Amino acid sequence: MRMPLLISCLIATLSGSALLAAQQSAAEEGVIQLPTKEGVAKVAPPQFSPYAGRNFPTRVFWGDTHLHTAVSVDAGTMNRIGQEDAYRFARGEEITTTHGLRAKLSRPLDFLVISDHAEMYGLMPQLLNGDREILSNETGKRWHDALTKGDDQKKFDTAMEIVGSLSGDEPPIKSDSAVKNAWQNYTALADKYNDPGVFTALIGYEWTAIGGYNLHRNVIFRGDASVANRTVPFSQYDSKNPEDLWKHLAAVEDKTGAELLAIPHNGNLSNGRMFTVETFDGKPLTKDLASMRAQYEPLVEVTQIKGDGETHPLLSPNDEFADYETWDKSNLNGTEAKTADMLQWEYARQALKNGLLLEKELGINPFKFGMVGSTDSHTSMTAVEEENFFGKHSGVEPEPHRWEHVVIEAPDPNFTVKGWQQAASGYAGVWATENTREAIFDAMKRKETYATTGPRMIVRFFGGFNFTDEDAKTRLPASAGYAKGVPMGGDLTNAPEGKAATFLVAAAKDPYSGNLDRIQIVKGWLNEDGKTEGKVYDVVWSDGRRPTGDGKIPPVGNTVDVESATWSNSIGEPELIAVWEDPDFDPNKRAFYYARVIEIPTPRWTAYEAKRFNIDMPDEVPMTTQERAYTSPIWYTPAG
Amino acid sequence: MSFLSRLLREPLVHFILIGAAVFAVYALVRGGEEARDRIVVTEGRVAQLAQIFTKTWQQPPTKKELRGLIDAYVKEEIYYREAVALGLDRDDTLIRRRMQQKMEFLTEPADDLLKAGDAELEAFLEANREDFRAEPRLAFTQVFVSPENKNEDEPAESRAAKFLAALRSGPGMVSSDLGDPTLLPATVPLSSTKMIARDFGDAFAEALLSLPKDEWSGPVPSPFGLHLVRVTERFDGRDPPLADIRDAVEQKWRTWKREQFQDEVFNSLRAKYDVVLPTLDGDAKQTGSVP
Repeated sequence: MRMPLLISCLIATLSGSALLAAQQSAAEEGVIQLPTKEGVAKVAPPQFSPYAGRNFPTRVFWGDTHLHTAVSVDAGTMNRIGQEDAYRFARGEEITTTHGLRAKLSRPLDFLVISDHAEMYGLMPQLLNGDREILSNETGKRWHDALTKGDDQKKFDTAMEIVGSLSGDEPPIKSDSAVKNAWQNYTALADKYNDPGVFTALIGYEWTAIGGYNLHRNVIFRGDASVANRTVPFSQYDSKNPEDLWKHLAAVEDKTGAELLAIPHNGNLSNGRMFTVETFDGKPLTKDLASMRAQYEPLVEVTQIKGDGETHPLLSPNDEFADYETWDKSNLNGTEAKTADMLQWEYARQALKNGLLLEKELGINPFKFGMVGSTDSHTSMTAVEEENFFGKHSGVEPEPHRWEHVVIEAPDPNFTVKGWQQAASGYAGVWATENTREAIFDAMKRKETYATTGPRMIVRFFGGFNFTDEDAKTRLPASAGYAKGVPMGGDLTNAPEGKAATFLVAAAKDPYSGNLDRIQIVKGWLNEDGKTEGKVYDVVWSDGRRPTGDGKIPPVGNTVDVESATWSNSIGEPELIAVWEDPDFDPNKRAFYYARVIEIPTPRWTAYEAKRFNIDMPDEVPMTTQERAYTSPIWYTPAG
Repeated sequence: MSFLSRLLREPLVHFILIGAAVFAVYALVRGGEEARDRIVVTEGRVAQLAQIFTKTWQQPPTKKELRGLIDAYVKEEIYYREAVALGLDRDDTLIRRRMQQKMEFLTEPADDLLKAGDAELEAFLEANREDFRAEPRLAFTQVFVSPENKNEDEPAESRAAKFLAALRSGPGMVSSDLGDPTLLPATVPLSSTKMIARDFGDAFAEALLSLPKDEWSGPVPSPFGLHLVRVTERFDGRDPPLADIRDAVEQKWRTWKREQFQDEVFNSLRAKYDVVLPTLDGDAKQTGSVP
């Protein structure tokens, strides 16, 4: 049964304490409460066996919330791998790529969202097969001919033209029945591959608005095909305004009982549009719109192949790790140069800060989001391991020259993106109680997630007022974490008199990747004068290093042998854990905290490529990387 | 095989011969007049052109537009025929591939060919046991000893040895009271070796297979440090019966069947040809039929 949104919000607010009491009594009666969309349950009282009765997530599930296949109109221009092979690849099977290579992941993923573009959904396979109805359309005919008969340049140009058409006002080829068929084929396939406990196939699509400025969102369903089939993907031809997308999601929820969320990505290519503090039309933001954004966009995809979006060196000049896989020359299609004043509306850290200010002004924080990473690969392969990287789209799949080939062509050659600039990134880590659509969706809603740039490190992050060093010595850090605080994505308020916020943070390396260099906590806060500030604290690090004069921990060193594309885990540590108390805590200031885990330097995908194909790349091509993870923040809000 | 007989098998020669025959008959029928190709635009074709137009533009074509459509169709047909006559299709890679695709599409097996009976699936499963074997699965409890523990001067190896002795000393020992803090799970429910490798690394998962059951042993090294391990459950890899994995077997069988069917069709086409290959890097010259 569904209650109208407003009423259910009201009830939730009024009866928050009643609910809590009910939960408590349930726990006391021995009924184990599982986590929900709103948050993790009160931890069950300790049993004799420390492992019994645990009702919190004990393992992290790995996935990609953003993958395109040949069904996407743009991907389909160059990629012949369909949705079924995309599922097979993600769950660890070997497939044959568009270019005839055999490909396989090092380890299966736990979940996947195939998020093909909503625009002209499923049109591409029909176009290539020479569907009569589509060939009867002049544009369809021309595209078909170029893609099936043109030379490589012609194909690439046409692919770019098709990508461009995704931003037009009208679909160049419109067929509602074709879209509906393709959508329902997809949802049926997702149901077929969804295997609770083993592999979760969440249903989703990408709304691709303002292509050049990348206001894109991936929409994800909690339910199965029977729910998803009650609607079709909302496309930018329906509206290019994200506010309309949220209204659409609300309407679908009300009408069909579906539950949905949306994940924006690549603010770094939006030229100042992704996290503006105004409405889409440039008017002051309203409380209604801010709460819709907060409700439907609980997460942001902060790292992917088209660059990293945590922060930018100009926004965080004192952060020596800020310049990571930065794409900051222009907007997505290279039609507008980037200027420094745009950056503040593009990157996650600054948006989280601006959110604090908006919350003070509006009473709602529209940018109260958690973090995930995903690939946005258009090859049907969620392959972003450095030594197993298949590229952004099928035009730049592995071959000796792809590092210098064009990924995105711009009118100004300075803005054209070359192969080597692609980041082999990222994945989403989700702390859910089980590997099912419902549990993973709910964990996303409550933001118990983190982003990594590829490696699957385990990261825990808890906030509270009572963590002590002893908690970092317990053998089950999560038990202490859930019992005494809130996990990543959670909220703190009402600091007890004289107490500062404390955090329990821990990370274990990916057994297949580099050791850990350090864990940092990134804090942002709002001063009385309405200005926001931020600081990065080194919290725990490897090899017994001592802070230098400026209070920073010196670099961990570098064991990478670029020529042989190897490194040694002789530096760094496999696991790091610490309790940290905020030395600058002010109970009257709004703040957020998130953890950033940094690996020791390892070979970047370009180093593996140079070795594999025996090629020399110019100095501008980076050959090492320090992979990382970003957790969802924990927010502190003063009482009252 | 003689040149002549090879020539007689060449499709282009067939084409030319047939063309010549048609030409001859045509010339006879037309009574010596200059032979002319005909393009007949049928009413059906016109209706189809109009229908496509209507669908695109949401209104029927005017007379003038229809005339334009027909002219375009005739133009296309003429160019098409002339191009084929000039052999322009033969050296065009994309057209050749498109033709190949169409042929392959025509050789998709019919649905009933892809319906499997139990006997067929059983046989297929038997022949491909390796692909369907269930991985070994293990459940275990572990105590972690970190080589990086800064509060301990003693080397990890000797601490591990002490813990192991304590764990083996009797049932009163609770494993969660021993070892160093870690994010790795202390107890792992029944999981495939692949899943264990995901968290603990390949070598660790491999090493577990040879450990005794219900007994503390180790230390087993991993990329994190040392682990004392008690295997609590173990299922060896096994070959599941068809009933348990019918869907998976059927899926693979269909893929295999389709490939096999297409191979057969291709082979029967291939049998009609003698393929002559050039010498490759010192190979003996290959001529005649290459199977």
